[in-house]
Amino acid sequence: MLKISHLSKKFAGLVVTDDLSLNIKVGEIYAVIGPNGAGKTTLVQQISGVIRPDHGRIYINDQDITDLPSHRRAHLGLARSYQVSSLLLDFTVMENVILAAAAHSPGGWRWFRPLLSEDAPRQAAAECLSRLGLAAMQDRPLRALGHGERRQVELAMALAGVPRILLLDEPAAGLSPTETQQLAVWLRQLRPHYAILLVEHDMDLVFGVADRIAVMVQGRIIADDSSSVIASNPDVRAAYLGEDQNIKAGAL
Amino acid sequence: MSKIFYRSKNAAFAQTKLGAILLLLILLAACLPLFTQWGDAPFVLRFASRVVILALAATALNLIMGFGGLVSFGQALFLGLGAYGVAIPSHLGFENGFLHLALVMLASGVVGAMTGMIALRTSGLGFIMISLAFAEMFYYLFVGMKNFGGDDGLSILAGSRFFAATLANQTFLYLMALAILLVALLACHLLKNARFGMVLRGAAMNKMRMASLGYDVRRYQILAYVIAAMVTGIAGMLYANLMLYAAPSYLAWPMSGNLIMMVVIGGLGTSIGPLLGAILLLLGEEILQRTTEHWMFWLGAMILALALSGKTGLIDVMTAWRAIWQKAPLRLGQPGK
Ligand SMILES: Nc1ncnc2c1ncn2[C@@H]1O[C@H](COP(=O)(O)OP(=O)(O)OP(=O)(O)O)[C@@H](O)[C@H]1O
Ligand SMILES: [Mg+2]
Repeated sequence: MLKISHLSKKFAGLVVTDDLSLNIKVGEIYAVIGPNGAGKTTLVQQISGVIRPDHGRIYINDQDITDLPSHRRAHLGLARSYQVSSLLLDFTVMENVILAAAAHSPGGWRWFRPLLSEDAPRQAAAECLSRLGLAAMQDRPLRALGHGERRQVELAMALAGVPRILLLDEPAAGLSPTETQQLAVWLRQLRPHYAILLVEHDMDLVFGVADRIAVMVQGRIIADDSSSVIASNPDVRAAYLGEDQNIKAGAL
Repeated sequence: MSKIFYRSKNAAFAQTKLGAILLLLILLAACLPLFTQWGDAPFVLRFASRVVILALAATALNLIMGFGGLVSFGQALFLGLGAYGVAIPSHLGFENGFLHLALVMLASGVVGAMTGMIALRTSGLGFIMISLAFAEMFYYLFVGMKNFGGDDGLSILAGSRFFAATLANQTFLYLMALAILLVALLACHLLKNARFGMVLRGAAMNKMRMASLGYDVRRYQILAYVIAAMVTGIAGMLYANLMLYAAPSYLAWPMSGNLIMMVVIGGLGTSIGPLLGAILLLLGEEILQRTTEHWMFWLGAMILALALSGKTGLIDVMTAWRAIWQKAPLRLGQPGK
């Protein structure tokens, strides 16, 4: 579904993506872990079209999207969430999610009909909100929401357009343990329908839900395998998981 | 349940009341030419026309600035194009209003599309500077056109003629301008919450997010820019008929600045704001101009006060007052502690 081949990117001499290749299928959660500054977000930015890579190609369903702008990629089934919540703060939850849904519903240029009363996007948004159990807060303005709630809206917006590929950049960042558990439940429910790239620091979550895990250090993937193999890989342990024994105990 | 019902009934009542008040205001505004004729005060009608026409231009600017978050410091460019779209053909002997209108729409549409496509490559300060630069370029273009008056501008002998009527007729001009303004305000009001307006406003809040959701943000912005350009062009056409004169100063930055002030004073992003802003700014100018030599100073002070009040515009101030006013009797009715 999502294929990346030999991607490279430098920021003023600093290599942030180093000859990186990967392949994610529908029904798979592919986690990317790595220390701060490894280049995980930069990878997401390149896939979603915010940053242009220096070399290498990105494909969705064998279609080369390397030179397409963000919005065209979205129409090919790509959706993302942001490490730092990136929402439409002056709108309500419903308005945020309905805009996400409307981008993919026909009727492109409706001039005078309120968007909130357009059937297709309204239904899609309502469905998405109730699927995530957020229907109760649909009329609240985004500004009034707490951090955890904003993260949930972030996910709802990624799902509302009915994408095939989800790029989730640290969806658990700043969530409480309960909220993180809820997220894990959702991710397992979502797995069969999407190709999911999950960038995450929370190792319990990663080892709990991921099918494959790639370990990234300084823009390079130093290991890429099923989660059980990664958890027992001595290099990975040394490079990254070294000290944190709890994680492996909890995950295996 | 009953509480919800009660509230919605109340809201419906408030809406009917608001509708009735609006209708009354519109009727009063439409009857203004009668009043000024009775009272023999043609200058009042002229003044009202000026307010209505500039409010139309401000409403257009509101589309890109209030909704789209794009501060165009060159909106007067299109006011000038509209004015010269009347002045030049009528100087050459063409008085047909439909011809003027077609010319104005074409000129403002094409120039709007060209300058918009370039200016919208940037945003924020870049957009402000480029829109200003284009307006200044055209300003010097008209200054340089010596056969069309150059620096001195161009007088218009006869206004735009539509069949038997001409826009040089003050009453006809005023009523036309008022009708167009009302349509524009209504369109803006509906547009605001429709898909187009929501995308524009969303892009003003977070352009990247809108792009990643799948919106071709620039296409929406260019379209809004071109619509605003054309509507401002029409305002310019009316303005030329009011003044019977077109001059390069119509394109100059003080005019653009005035339009921005109207939008900001009225309340950014509200649909009725530009009209309130135009009324307040021009009325303030008129009154202060008559009472004091230093009217510019006092006008500036008023605007500063509004800015420092922390409110985003007149609409906001009014809502705040209303809230206080509505709470007051309630407070009086409560037993003191
Ligand atoms: N626009 C930019 N210009 C220059 N350097 C950048 C830019 N964006 C990121 N970097 C640098 O690239 C490196 C990788 O950053 P990136 O945000 O991709 O890391 P990350 O793996 O997501 O880290 P974290 O876990 O902290 O989110 C960092 O050293 C960062 O400082
Ligand atoms: Mg990151």
